[in-house]
Amino acid sequence: MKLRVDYLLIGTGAAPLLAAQKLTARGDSVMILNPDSDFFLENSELSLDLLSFESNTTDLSRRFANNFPEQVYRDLIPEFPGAVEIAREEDLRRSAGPYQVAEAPWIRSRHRLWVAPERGVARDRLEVLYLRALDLGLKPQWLEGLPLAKRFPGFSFRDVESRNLDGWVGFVGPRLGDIDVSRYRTGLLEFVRERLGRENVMTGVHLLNADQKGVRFQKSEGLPKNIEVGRAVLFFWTPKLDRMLRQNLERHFPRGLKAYQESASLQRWEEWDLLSRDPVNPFLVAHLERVRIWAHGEGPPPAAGWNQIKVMMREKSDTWVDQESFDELSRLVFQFMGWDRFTVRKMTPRALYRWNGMTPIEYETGGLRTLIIPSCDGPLHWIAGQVRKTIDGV
Amino acid sequence: MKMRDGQIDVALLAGPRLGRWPTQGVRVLSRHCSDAGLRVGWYGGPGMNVRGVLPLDAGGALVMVEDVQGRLHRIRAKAVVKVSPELEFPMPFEGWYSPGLIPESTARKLMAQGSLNWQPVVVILGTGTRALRLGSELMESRLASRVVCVESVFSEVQGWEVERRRFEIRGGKILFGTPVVLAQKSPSLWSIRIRDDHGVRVLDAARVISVGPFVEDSGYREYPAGSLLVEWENSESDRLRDDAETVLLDEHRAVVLASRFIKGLADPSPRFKSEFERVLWSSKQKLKEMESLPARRHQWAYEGKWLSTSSRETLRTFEGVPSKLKPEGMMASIECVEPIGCKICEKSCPANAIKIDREKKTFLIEDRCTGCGFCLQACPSGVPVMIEGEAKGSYVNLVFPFSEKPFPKKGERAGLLSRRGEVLAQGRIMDQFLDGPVPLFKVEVPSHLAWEVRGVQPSPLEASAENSEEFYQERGTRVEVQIHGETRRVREGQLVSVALFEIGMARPNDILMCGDGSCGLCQIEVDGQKKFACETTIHQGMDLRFTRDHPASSELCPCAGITVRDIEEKIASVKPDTLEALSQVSGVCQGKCHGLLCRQSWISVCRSGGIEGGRFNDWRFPWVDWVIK
Repeated sequence: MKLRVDYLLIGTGAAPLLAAQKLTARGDSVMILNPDSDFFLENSELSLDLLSFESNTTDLSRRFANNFPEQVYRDLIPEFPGAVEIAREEDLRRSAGPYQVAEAPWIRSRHRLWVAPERGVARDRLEVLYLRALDLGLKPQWLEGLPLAKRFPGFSFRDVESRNLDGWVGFVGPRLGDIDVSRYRTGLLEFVRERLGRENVMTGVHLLNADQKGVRFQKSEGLPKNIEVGRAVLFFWTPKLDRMLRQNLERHFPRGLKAYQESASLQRWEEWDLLSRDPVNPFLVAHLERVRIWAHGEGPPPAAGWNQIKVMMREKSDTWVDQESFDELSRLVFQFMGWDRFTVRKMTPRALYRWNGMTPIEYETGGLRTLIIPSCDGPLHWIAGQVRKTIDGV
Repeated sequence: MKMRDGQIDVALLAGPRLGRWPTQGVRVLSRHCSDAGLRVGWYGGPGMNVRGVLPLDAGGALVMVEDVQGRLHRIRAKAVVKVSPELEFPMPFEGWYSPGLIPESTARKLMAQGSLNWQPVVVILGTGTRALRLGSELMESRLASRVVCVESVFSEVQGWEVERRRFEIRGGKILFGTPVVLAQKSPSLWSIRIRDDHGVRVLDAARVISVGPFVEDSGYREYPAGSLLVEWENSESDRLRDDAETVLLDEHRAVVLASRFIKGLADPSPRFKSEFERVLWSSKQKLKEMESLPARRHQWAYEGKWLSTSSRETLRTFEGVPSKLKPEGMMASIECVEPIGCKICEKSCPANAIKIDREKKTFLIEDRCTGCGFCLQACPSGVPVMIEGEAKGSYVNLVFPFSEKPFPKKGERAGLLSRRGEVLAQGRIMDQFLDGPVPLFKVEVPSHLAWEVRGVQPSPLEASAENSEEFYQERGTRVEVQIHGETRRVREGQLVSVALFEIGMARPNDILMCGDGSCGLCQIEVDGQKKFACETTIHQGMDLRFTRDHPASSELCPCAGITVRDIEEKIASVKPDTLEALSQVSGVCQGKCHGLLCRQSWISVCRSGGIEGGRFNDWRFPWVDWVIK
């Protein structure tokens, strides 16, 4: 039997699944090939926007607006086949709301809290951010010392007098949304696999070559196969595909390689999972210089909060778990949060790309149209938006 | 916290709860790698805790190690070998995660303390050699008067026939069935229901010990492929091999693994290469021989109480058994019909009368046997017997090992037991040999039973105190401690976790008893401070507090509350190809114990769901919770 599809999607994770869903809905035939041995192994989606502002020229209003829970919901719901639940703090506290499916992906609404020490660049940046938020009418609430610290997720009142919290300043910003990534992409995978059939969603595939007729690939076992592609091959960028994509561009579209190289810069993050003795306020995400910290769990947060804390820390150097990471973590946990010890459950290295351009890089090799779609990592709702725009354009 | 950076070629790491370090395999691997010019490091053992491994995209991994002074070492290694212990739990059933079911390592720790009440019955899940040995030891030491081994996975007994024989002679019973419910009846009594072809049996047991085997895996696995990151599950407790053979197996595996590291990382001299090639070739040949598992175990067939004609024929024509008896003087009979080949008897024989060939067949050279009895003392399974007398006479004398106290006195009569532990006749105790490590007794046996009788019935055990308070009296100085404000008397100087077992207040979280905090489960508040129960000793006036709501659990992953059904549903809906993907979507093995309790059962469930999990290693960082002070 000859294999022929309109679109061949290559990559892993939520982006190709969302694209497949959208393409199938409009009547195109689709096949997904995944070079990884299974789905989601790169785990490159984030549940929320880490909001690391590189410069003061960032369009704050758009950035915040993109992350409001209602917007996150609007971004995520169109291609998702099941229920996506949206929860606000008041609803959960009243134990009421329109939520019917506890196992669905939940979008939670959490305040953002920016914190900085008394002096230094971080404080200056914080003030600028506060003023800009004020100008935008976001009603930020300025806090200092203990009132600020006690809002911080996981803050302990142990020896609070001796910890000299007076110098700390910060403000509570707007409520932004975050989503259960694992539930969302698993639900999507289940649906896409059912629609396309298992034979059209393959993992552990080794891509051999491409020509005007299509693509040649091989599974770990068995003979190579050719697939004829009617309209386009879409490469959804992932760190693992990066090397192959660069080689392809160098060979077929050197001009595109330059654009590709300029299009992204790498950020190294460390994702630490800590255990708290006491439940942590689940309705707040704190920003402290290059650290983001929040209570982590899936589904609707319990009234008392979650015991697991997620700390995302941006790496300054190019190595993982070094002395600086531990120093920073120790400073945060011991000096500011006032714990006497902390328990590390997990550390996951994350390489996140900041993409300058969102436009797909497009080239043709012998009549075969190929698109490289950037920005397939980061907050899940961004990815959904990006994929939607791309697919509308192809 | 001070951090030290290091760089190394091959890092050999002790996984959580690994008892002996370094293992023989690690020694051999390390020697060959360092001879080839690779920098090798061992990390593990007392004062050196490996906290985790972080695989790097560029190859190799970062290894995080905490030393005895609390300093953190970050070691960049090109190849990593994590040595894991075999920790086996059965497939989850109602109440499996409770203090009523303990793994073998915990059972041995409690046995060593000599304080736990094991009467009236101990149930062991598993029928491997280790399970049968543990059962025999419990009965020989008179800790338990009855032991029942339950086989729930395989259709036949998994251990050696000789161990089964030893176990059954001591009064042990073997059941085929699946445990379905474990429930507590009193602080020291548990009720286990076992479903078999005939229905459901209920056994009231002092404790259920999980030994296995429940799966067939051992050896090393590399994951991801080509990464030189290897997890090595100790082969030391392989179900069909003896201790000596598993050490050899590990040694040969180490050579093969070393060859991969040397090929990938080193540039050794031509001389080393040629020498190593020879070693490698030899190890590969040996491995080929060893990895083809021995033929099925020999099972004695019975016609009622006595051996069947065919089994009797097999025994009499077996080369380890003397073809004729000496009228005067002892002669050994090595009745190890199955091909075990542990060679301990061969090594122990000063007259070189015992030979074991390449096919693990035992031969007795009758002319050389002096009847010294060394083989009886040496054999860990108590296989050999000494026979003296004429077959035509009315009686022969047999010498057996016999450990159950109180010992019968010379001249007394005792029940003579068949290989199944059934009483065949009465015999007289002719002599005692109590000087060696194993007590031996010479017994007069009717000559027609010379090839049937293989044990002596022990004298009945005195009725044990059913009340645990009485049982523990006079066993060490007892001190008062406060448990949630309630005064309890426990033995001074013992571990808190052991004390909790003794007074019937153990929690499910105490069952691993890792002893070094590596499982991170048994946290307890001691005098206001959080500590691990398995590391803290009892002292007078101690104030203990812990969360008391630890119900027995039926879930596959008790830490995260994930059931077998949840996993099956995920497999059905997501249809993952690999265990790694399934672990991400199911959340299993991500709880407090990092998979120590559930990993094996989870892999079994996945296999039955069609996912091949043989090559999966969990490199998630860290392996255990680590507390930073």
